[in-house]
Amino acid sequence: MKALIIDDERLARKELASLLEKHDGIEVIGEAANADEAELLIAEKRPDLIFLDINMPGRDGFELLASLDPAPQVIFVTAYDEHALRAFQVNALDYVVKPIDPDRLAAALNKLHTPHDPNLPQRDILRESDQIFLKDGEKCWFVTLKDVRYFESEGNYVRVRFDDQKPLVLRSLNKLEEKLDPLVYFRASRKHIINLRWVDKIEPWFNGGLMVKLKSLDKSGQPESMEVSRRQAARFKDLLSL
Amino acid sequence: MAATITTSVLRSPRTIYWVTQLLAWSLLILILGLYFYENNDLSGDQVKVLVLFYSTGIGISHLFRYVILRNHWLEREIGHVLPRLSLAALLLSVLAFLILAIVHDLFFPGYKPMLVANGLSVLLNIINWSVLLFVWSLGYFAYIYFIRSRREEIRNLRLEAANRENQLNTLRAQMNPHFMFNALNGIRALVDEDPEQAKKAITQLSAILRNAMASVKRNLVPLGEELDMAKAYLELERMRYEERLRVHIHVPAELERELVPPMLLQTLVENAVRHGIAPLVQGGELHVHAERTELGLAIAVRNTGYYGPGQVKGTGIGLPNTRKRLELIYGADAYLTITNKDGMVESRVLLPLKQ
Repeated sequence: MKALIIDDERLARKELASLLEKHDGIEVIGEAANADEAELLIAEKRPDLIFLDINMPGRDGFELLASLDPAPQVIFVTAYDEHALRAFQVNALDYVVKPIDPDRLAAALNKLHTPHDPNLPQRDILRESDQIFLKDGEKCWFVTLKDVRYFESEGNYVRVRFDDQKPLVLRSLNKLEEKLDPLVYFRASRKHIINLRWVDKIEPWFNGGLMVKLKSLDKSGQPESMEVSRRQAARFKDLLSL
Repeated sequence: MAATITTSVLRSPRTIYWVTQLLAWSLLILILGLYFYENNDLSGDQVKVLVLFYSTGIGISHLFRYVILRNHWLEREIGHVLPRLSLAALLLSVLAFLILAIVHDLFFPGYKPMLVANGLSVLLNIINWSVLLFVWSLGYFAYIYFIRSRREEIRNLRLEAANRENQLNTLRAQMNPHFMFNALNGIRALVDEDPEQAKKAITQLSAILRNAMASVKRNLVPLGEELDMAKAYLELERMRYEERLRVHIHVPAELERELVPPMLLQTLVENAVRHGIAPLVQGGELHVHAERTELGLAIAVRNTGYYGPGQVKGTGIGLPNTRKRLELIYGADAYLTITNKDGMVESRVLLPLKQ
């Protein structure tokens, strides 16, 4: 498993690397001292796992993670970030504290998923089973894409709807559409990308458009619904007739 | 609101002075009146004389207070003041007698003339006044000393409280989990890389913790001790930040004996690292500088960065507490300023030097 260590302190990186030497399954393929370096290294070396310090000069660990799609497997390494860790709305992450307890590190490594067959070509597409990391203000979420019902464009931002959460993140709906698996995520209109697994009913709408009703309910107890524009309606029918 | 105003007016020194003054003189007059009454000597004229005596007494003793304040006798040694106090009491007695006698003889011409009485009677009268005024002034001094010692006590208590609070803050900062655990993590890595350096770092960490827990009772410590502590702290931070933290210290050796409030330099240096250098990807410079100026001892900590209001995260109690302590120790003679200068933030403290 290829791992990358991201920490602003050289000694901290060294310490972690020396602890990881004892784990045969983990190969440290690089180190980064800040978020910018890390971003380049991740794009270049495509690690399966990153060890991420939260507190760094410049962009912090959360901000780095929020810019990565899909989010790689992460183990946070932090001196003391009760506050930061509390920010997590969905606690689907693991972390170790400094100074690192070797047993605790081993336990965190054991929980990792084995990566997909490394012989498969690298992919850029986000699948349902992929996780993305979202950050809205002080709050953070690790969310599996299949739980996202739809994405809604709000100016330069995108609102992500899952569970009862709706964080607003700085992304473009167009960029997102390019990355999402087209068999599952459908661009219904300029405003929405829908997760087809959540679609319950489809009704004809004005001007040759369609109205999609989801399995989820909105606040007033009605099914969440959104319009499919006329341009997209034909494609939509094609997709579903498969 | 009205209630608080009333209380504060009642408690103001001026009010207390007047209430005490009027009460004391009234009491004296009452005693004199009773004395005359017992001797069947309390005629209508005598009452008039007593009223006159009462007003003159208050007027003259108030004048006495003015003389005391005007000549700053309250600030002088008691040995210096006592003869002057006696002389003033005597002179004022003559004045009091003259006023009393003139008014008396003008308004009650028939009743026991005073001004033209025999010499012995005049002398006795003046001596009476002198003793009375002298005792009055002693009472006044006692009262003022009492108030002052209480004020001093309160000031000391407040200083101790501020020191305690500061110690707590420093402990909190030093025990700042980030600092502690990162330092320990760094030491862990050093154990393999450079065991000697690791040992040194452990000693430095102990020194810092010990100092943070040291006695609060000391209000002032030598600058040299403070500097050693700051150096130990900076060394540890250098272990973590390495070339990102560039430290320059210029403190002339002859200033190391000067006394400064404990943890003052430490607070400034910590702020510079935590809020100035730490957020910078490229790191920055940190200068510690001390010099003797005409106004006193100037200590400056400069760091790369920019200081803006609302920009600094954290508890935000370090600087207000430092200012409070400076005020308690030095009054208005010491100050702490933070300015942006040529891309650097400068925290500057000026302390008056003891002569």
